[in-house]
Amino acid sequence: MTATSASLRRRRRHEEVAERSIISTMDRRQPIVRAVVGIVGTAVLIALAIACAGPLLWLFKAATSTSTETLAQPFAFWPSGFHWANIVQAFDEVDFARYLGNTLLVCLGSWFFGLLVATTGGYGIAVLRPAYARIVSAAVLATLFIPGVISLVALYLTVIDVPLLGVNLLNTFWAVWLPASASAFNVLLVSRFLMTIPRDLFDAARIDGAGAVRVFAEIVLPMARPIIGVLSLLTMVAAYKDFLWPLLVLNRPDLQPISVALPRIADNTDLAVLMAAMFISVLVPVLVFLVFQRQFIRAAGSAGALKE
Amino acid sequence: MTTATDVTAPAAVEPVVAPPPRRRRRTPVTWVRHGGLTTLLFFVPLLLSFGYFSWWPILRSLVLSLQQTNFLTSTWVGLANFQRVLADPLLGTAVWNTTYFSLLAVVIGFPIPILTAVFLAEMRRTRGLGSALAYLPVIIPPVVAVLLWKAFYDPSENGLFNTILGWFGVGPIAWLNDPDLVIPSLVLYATWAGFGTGVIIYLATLMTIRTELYEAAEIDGARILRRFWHVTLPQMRGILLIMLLLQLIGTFQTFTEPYIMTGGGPENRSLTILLLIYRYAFVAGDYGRATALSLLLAVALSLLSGLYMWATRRWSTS
Amino acid sequence: MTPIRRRTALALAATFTVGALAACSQGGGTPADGGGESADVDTEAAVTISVGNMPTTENPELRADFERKLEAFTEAYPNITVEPEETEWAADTWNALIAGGTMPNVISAPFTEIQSMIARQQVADVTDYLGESEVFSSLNPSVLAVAQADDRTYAVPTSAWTMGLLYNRDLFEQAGLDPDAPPQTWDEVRTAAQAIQEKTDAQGFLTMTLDNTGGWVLTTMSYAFGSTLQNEDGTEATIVNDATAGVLDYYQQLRWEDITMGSNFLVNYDDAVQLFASGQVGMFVQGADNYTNMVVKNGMDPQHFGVAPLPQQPNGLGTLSGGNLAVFSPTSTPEQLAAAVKWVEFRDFRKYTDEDIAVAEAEAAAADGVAVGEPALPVVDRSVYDQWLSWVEPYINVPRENFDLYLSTVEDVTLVPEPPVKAQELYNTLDSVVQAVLTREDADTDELLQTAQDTFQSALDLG
Repeated sequence: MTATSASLRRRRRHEEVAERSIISTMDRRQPIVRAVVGIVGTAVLIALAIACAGPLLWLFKAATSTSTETLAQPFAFWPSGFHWANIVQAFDEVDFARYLGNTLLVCLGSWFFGLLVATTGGYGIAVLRPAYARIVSAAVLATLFIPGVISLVALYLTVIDVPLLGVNLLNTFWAVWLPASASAFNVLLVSRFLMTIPRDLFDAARIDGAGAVRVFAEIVLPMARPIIGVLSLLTMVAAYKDFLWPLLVLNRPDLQPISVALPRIADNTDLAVLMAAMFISVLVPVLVFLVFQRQFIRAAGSAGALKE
Repeated sequence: MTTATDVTAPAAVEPVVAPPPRRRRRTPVTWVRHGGLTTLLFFVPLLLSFGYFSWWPILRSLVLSLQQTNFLTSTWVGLANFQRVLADPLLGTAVWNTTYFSLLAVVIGFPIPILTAVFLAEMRRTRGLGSALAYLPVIIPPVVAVLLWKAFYDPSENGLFNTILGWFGVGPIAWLNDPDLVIPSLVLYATWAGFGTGVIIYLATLMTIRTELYEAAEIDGARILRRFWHVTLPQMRGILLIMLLLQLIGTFQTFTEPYIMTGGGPENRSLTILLLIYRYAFVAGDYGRATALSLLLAVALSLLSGLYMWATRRWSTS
Repeated sequence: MTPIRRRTALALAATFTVGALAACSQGGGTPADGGGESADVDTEAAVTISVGNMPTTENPELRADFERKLEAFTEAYPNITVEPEETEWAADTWNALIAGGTMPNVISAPFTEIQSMIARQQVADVTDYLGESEVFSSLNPSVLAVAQADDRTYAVPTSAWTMGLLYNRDLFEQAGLDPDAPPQTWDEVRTAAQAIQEKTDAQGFLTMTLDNTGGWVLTTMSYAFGSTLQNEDGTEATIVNDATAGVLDYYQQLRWEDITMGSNFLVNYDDAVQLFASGQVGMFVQGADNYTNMVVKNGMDPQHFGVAPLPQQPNGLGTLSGGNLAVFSPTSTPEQLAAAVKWVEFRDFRKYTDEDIAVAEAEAAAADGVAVGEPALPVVDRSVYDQWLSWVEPYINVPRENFDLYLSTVEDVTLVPEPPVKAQELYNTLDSVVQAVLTREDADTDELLQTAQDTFQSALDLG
């Protein structure tokens, strides 16, 4: 596996230098091919723009129009002008600060605990490898094949009454953070990555007298930065989008993240203000995505590659 | 009395006994001194996290499925929950709907990311823009996306999609209100929301296909299409197979879309298995039946995965 | 007046009929023998209670009103510290809330749930704390009976309502109908719907269909057409009956012949409120207490809001009704219970016994934009309620003259209890029946009803 991933890395770098795909440079010299590629390429781009960015642009339009206009003439472009009032009203009525703040807390907590479990667990399974590591690894792997649905209700009951501790985590952020940290995918991601690091490195460190903790802090963590980057993005996006679980465990409105609060708000406001609220709540992730585009895409891609 | 045989006898005797292996007495002290405690400490977060929130709930589900509980008391009811679940006429509906949804999602939603990725791979200058655009729907929180599409699917002639169709002279479609169209409508939405992930992953894979393969094919006189068929697809086989399985497992657990868009209607035509589980647990308050159905679904999916792995083992590259 | 959440909107008729007024008076409010605990409670000691149902920030008027009352309460009772929560009763999470011990000391719950809550010991016995208050003695005994079991009281009813026919007065005018003479028979409803459909942009009639509301409305209509859906002790489903079939036929006629029911049939409680409040629907069957929902929360023009008594067929049984009660956490200390009861009394009942308070509250509420004097079914005796109305007359900001017909008949209508057993499951089962009739022209109503009956009967048989 070490050889393959090393060659993969070499290959990827090579590819970025000399672009090569199905259609070769020789092919492209033919005007027909160039024309077809050009046309199809443009068509694909336009289709993507309409399909993917279109809805967001429409959302902006709906957010700045009146409800009647949106309902009766969905494609009319601001017949009565921009109605910024909707957005102002949305800010007034909907406590975005609170909901987005909750969302941030949920994301950060999920990120931290997810990372904690994945890095320490991955380290233990891949590097330290005590006798029981095999069993633990198998148990973790097994949960990957068991769909989450099976434990939904049981998890809910566990969160209400944590065994041995007897606390009720309902309506606390722990109820969202802790279950999110038990992600087999994350652990495997880290452990597989760590397994590609040559063992000599660790042996050398041990000979030098470094203990497990020092090795972890000074060797593993720095080397694992790319995978930690991937993990961070994945856990945060997942936490941001999560709906069903926070809906179940965070029913106090003042604790709800934006993903849960929105449908509730939908019931209380008229269409235009709702559209404005939706637009505002979409703005944050979209802006973050646009800024960190390349990292996102690289992360998503490498996560996929590691799925193999 | 020593004879010649005696002299050679020692050769047949066991060689000099090796020194006994250094027997390490496994006492707690030696264990700690050899770093056992530290190692264990590294495992603690994982063990606690998985123990409480992964393994224990799974075990508890097995127990719950055999009980009836109302938070005050629990009574053992054996397989009664399973019997009730299997006897529920809605189960057939839910299974049919979910299967239909998943298959339709595969037929429609599986090729689209592949094709898009292939196209994007050829578009050297606009690839970044294309990838970003494709991934955009994935970034949008499902709740917002679903509410948006709910508005798009307005069945009156002023609904967004119906207006577009009106430009082409096609009459207003009932979309979510049409019992026959409700699942295809949900699939359309799900495809839009999820294809970006596939595009990115496939794009990354496409970039790793070795040039030599293409060059060899080109030298052999293969045209573009044949290169795609004989080089690209086989090289992507591994990732394609895994993504297909993951998609199947994922779509079988669809919940958010029917929950927010249709509540399972009209007339339970968009009731999925997970929505049924939710109804058992949180509308009827029957956790026993809910876990029983969850277990059945989990077993079915595991069998599906196993079958799939076995059937495709000849084809995967890893 | 307590905001009703989507899922809680299934709060249905309480277990009382007008006849109960004459019948059993279960000692409304006075403590049964065995009381006396209240004497030991130190009402001056410092105590902290948590109270639910604080309106969220999306409802600024209601929230301001709540906060004002909170402030006044803390002034009046400085030893009581109140921690408000936005927690509300919700069908799916109630059990978990209780089991996890996170129920606030006092929270609102619908009538339909109280008896099963009592049976499951999920609410505290507050009989002793009510006896002391003069305010509670003005509670209508039959309303109070809802919250009682075995001569003990477990909750305080705070609001009640009946189902009615909500109609848009403005659309009526546009369609050439008289807004002060709303339809009184179902045939009249049908013609009115046709008029609205023809002469305005709105759809004539609507029925909710999702999240158990479809079954809820179907049950209401069945009563109005002449039949219940369960027998009295809840052992037998009577879904297959002429009245319910009649309702489905009626829906079919309006939907497929007259085409007055619009094109979207996946409508839950909140969707319906929004559609009505934005003037897209002429009439629909809904709780008559929705004034605040429509006008205050959703910006409907108050002059457009109309409510009429639910039309009855000749052999109609009456109107479905329900309400909300304040329930108390069983883990509360006696001091907390006393304080919580005081809070309920302060929040909802002072205005009935003290004119100055009534006036001050009404004045402040009107200033905040909250509705004063909206149509409702009083939980206190009629005379007490009328007295309160006369006190706050200058501040009534609701055009009560528009609701004359409803208000003058609300007390005389026969109130029918909701299905006694597994109402939620019944409504859930019926939801798909309603959806079928509205989305499939070829729906066979007899078949649908029979299937629903078989399904629900097996649910009943399980016990």
